[in-house]
Amino acid sequence: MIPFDFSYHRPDSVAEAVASYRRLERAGLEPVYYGGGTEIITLARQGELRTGAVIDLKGVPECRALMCRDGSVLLGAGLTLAEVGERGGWAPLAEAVGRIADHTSRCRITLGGNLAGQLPYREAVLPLLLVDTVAVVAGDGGLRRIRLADVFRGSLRLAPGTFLAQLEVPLDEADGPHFASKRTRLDWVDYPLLTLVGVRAGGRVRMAFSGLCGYPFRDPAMERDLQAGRIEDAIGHIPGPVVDDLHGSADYRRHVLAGALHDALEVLRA
Amino acid sequence: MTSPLAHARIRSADVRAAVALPGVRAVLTGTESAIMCGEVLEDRPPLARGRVRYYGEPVAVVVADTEAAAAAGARAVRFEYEPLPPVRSVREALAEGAPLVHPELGTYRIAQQPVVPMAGSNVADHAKVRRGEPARAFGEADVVVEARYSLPQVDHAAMETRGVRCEILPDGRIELHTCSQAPFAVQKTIATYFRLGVGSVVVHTPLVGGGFGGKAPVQLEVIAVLCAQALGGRPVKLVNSREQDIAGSPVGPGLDARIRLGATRAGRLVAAELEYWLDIGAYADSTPRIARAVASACTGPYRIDAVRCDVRCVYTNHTYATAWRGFGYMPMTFAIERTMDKLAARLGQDRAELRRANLIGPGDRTPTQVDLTENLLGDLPKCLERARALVGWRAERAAGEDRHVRGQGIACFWKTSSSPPNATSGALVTFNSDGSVNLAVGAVEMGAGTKTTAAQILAQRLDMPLEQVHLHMDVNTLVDPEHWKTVASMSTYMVGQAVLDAAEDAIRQLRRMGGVVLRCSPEDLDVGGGRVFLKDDPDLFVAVKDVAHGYQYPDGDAVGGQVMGRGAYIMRHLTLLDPETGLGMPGPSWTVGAQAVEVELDTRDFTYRILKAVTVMDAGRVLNPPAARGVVMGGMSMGLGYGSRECLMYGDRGELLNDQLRTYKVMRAGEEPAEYAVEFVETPQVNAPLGARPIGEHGVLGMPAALASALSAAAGVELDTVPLTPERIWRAVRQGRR
Repeated sequence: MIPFDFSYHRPDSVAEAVASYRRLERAGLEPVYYGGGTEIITLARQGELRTGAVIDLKGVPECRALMCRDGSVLLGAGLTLAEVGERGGWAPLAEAVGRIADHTSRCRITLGGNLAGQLPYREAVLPLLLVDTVAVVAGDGGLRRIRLADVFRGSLRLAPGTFLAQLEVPLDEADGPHFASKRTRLDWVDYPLLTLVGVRAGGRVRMAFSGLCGYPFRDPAMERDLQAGRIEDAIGHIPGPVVDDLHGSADYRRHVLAGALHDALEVLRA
Repeated sequence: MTSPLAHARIRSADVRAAVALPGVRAVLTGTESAIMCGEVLEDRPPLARGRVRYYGEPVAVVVADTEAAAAAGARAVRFEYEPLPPVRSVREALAEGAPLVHPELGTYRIAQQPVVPMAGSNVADHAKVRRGEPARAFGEADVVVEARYSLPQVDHAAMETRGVRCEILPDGRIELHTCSQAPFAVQKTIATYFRLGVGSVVVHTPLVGGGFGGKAPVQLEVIAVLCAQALGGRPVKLVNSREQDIAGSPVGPGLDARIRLGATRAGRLVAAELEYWLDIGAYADSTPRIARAVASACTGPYRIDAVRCDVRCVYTNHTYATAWRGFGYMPMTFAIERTMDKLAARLGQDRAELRRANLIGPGDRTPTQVDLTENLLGDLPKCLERARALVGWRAERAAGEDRHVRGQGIACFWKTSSSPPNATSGALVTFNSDGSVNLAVGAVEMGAGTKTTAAQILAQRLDMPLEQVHLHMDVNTLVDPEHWKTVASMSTYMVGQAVLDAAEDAIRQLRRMGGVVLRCSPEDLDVGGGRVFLKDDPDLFVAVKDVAHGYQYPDGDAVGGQVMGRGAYIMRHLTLLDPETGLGMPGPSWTVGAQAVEVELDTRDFTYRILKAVTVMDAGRVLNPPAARGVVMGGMSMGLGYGSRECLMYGDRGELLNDQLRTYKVMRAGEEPAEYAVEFVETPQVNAPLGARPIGEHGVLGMPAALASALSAAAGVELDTVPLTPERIWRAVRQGRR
């Protein structure tokens, strides 16, 4: 049970969504944008989130876009992970989102919700960080195009009232093989000890990681080492403290990383 | 509201703001009632009183018109705590100068003997087995192995969380609806605590959504009655959230063990010194009975004539424990079986062969000095032989593809009921006007098919189609005959005997009426196919439907009355164990079996696949083959879950870290072994209904041990605890521990 009352809004356009947010904000309702709702519902149930209003973005047409054009794909942030996996048209993305939660949840969780979520893993972002993805952000002035790398630094950094509407993914940029691997404590469905997604683009190895640090990341120093096949050095260049929690220790995460990097380089440097 | 701390003094509780909220009817804390709960030792207030002893312990309950108003009320209750140092493990509990979980131990009322609390310590109970002269036998042993184990607590993770509804009628009668495995125990317990006649408490159970032992204890029912009382009897409903169900309601005990086995050079076991410490958490509940169950089977199914065993129930600031499928046998079996593997390694013998050579058999004595017969024990050698065949037993690990290796493990188990010597069951059979029958039994149905099996037994005995036996899935203590508790794998055994007794009673009445109608002696008649017929001339008959409600002659007058079959069963010849030696008869028979597992281990990151899991069990006689396979496979899955992933994890301050199914992992469909092989040996038990031995819990018993044995073989190190996550195997390999 969600132990508080809230109002539900389902705008039909970007302008209406943003206007609703502003209006509800002024009314003191502390609104939140709503994608699939899996996180909002679970956090609200546990008393870790409270809001007076949710604004469901699934009625905003831009958020439901799915379009291929000239070697890139345009993905609405309101697509579910299941839709992105089945129809997104890019194997690295399909493999990354295909291991998030279970199928029932993937039919609810949205792409934008996964990137904007409070859970630290946000594995859907990993392939998107490997190419020059453009984030289409909705705000008071309508839609604005920004490099994803500029608004996603560990987590999605957007001004209050704005939301991620779409992602333009230039998937042709990754012109070589790809590699994706997820390791958990044991179960197929669980949070990652490590999720690694890698591509080769213009002869260079690119890799992004989740589960290793408290946020998903891609790191230039690690990629330089990996390009040269120096796995130990790359592990030494992990950009932050390695997570040590009930799912797995930092030591074991590093060990898993070494194995996964070995497998990844076998594919990506072939 | 539950405690956020594992161990603390309650300084104050302020409920004023909560009481003032709209829709809130009452707020209860521990101080409003003097009741102390506990089926063996009354050590637990229904709501924490003065002190909290585990994270998740219920401290207050808000009764409101809606769930939302109750939640708002709970947020408004203010508790002030003074943290106390938590006891975080059995080891810490037994250490010199350990904080006491129960400084009052020694003053608690004992509700049911035997229990031996040690005042001034964290030991709630101590059970012993003394047999032969272990000191001398160890002196004569050529080889001695000793090992220690520490196994975590486990949740029942039933699909349905615990819940209860309670109403107190104007005449004082308490009506309770609860998803319990033990409606009659709830009835008696509530009557005792609230000083009522037993008949003034009526308990209803529905078709229960899984129990596994976790719904045998009485917990929420007491709180619900207190709430209803506070509202002048109005109906109240109290249902655990998943978090409350895991953290707040009782779990399965953890176990620490020290196992010392002595053997001859040829591999014959001669002596055992066994210490078991159950991590019972904050309160004793039924764990003293678990301690005696472990004591009675402490050696595993092996012939050892010199045994010294001590089983202690140890308080910690963990969630309190109760029965969990197998009643302590599963972790005990783990400790014994892992040590058998170590002994095999020391002797340079095959693991399965060492077991075979030491299996207990007819003519041997159990640790509590029961003289075993084939009828009591069944055929363990055959189970082991078939399990070896089904897994394709090889002693050594085998290389698989690239960095993968295969390993096999094996474990034997035995179990008896450890039920109270006066456990009872009953059955009532009534007839409908079309000759079909209604069967009333007091056993709870929770997915194991107990009621269906009871109906099958009745249908077979009355020689009628199963479709004509009607029964209700719920239990109502007001009308259904008492069944002790739906636990200990004893329901088919006990209910089945009562049903057969009731069938005989009904048949006797039908034959008597048939004799009147057919003008012959009842001895000349038999019942079957809806008829009471002459044995020597079956064409001469009267329909059951025409005599079951009295017989009406053609001219209108009638004789006889309703036929009602009444059946009863009570355990016989069971005894409590002697407090000094353990001497005693703990159950009506043993169920034995052997289990095996084959795994494929990735030697780089130590992930693994379970290729095959095998159970061969002596079922006496299989009454319902698909249901029997299902219940055994379910047990195997649970055992593999405990072996591989399930456990309660506590933080540095003793707080439970994984009270959700996101983090408390149970096996999912796709993670099951590639193959389950279940086979039954049938050595009928002559004093059981149709020869059937208990099989309900047993699939779980040796599975964690067999998995650990297989992974140890594959990894080349001894893996001595669970859950066996890849990280744990990696760590053991890295430490090069052998």
